[in-house]
Amino acid sequence: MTDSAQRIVSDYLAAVDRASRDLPTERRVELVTDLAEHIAAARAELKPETEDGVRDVLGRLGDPRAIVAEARVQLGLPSVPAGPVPAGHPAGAHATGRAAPPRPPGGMPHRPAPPPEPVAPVRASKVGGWLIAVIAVGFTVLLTVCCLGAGVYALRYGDGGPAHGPGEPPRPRPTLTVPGR
Amino acid sequence: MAGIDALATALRRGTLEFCVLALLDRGERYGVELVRQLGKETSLTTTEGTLYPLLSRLRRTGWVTTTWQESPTGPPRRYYALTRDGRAALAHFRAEWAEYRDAVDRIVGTEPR
Repeated sequence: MTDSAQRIVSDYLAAVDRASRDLPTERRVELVTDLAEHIAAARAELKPETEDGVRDVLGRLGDPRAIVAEARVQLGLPSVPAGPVPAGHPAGAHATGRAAPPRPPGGMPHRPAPPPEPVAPVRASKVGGWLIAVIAVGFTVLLTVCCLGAGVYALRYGDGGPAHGPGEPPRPRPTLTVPGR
Repeated sequence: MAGIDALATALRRGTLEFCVLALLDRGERYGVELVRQLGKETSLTTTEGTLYPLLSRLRRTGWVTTTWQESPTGPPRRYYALTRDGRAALAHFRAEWAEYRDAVDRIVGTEPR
């Protein structure tokens, strides 16, 4: 596992997390965790693991925005409010880690940490170790993005930020609606 | 070409999840294995990653369940398996689909000769 491959993976998962900031927290953590598990399993099958191999794994997973757009569909949420995702985005265009938004000068508003994800029962300590590692990566990414997101929130909504329409209230948190079957 | 893409998306909606259930009906599979198998059918999927939100919904619906199992090559794998409800949903779909497909074939003129 090379540092550069690790960085590519981290950037990819961070891009998924950024794109999914409007999803309910539990779904967002689950999505990042599912993809992190997929990447870990697919990397283990690369013999030997190369940076190109890792890029291929991420390319096959596809554009983070397209994955999040599908998550919104599955949750019955309206399509993403800003930056629409083109339908049928081609594989191979994985994220390269966009620049993080600037932090507000006055520090960041407090935001409570997300509740812990219920962990599936595991059968062996090795399983637990990997799971904890995967979830730790997911939470690290999530917390980072929460902080950045809180900063952006402050910039947009604090002091009647110009980026926002006049008199438009903050969006309510979307509730989880699963399409009935 | 937007119309073509929209058609593919519309056809996938409502059918892809039953393709997932049908694959799992043949035996449990871990995530990478499952999404790669579906990914081979290019008309069924866009990218491998878009299948995970679907798998998440199937878990919450109670049609699939997952278990962790050791892997000979790396980290433990999360295996997906069909539940009793999932199997019933698949059986229901198979019956509905055959009827629906036959009706469309008759009207559109695509019935096998």
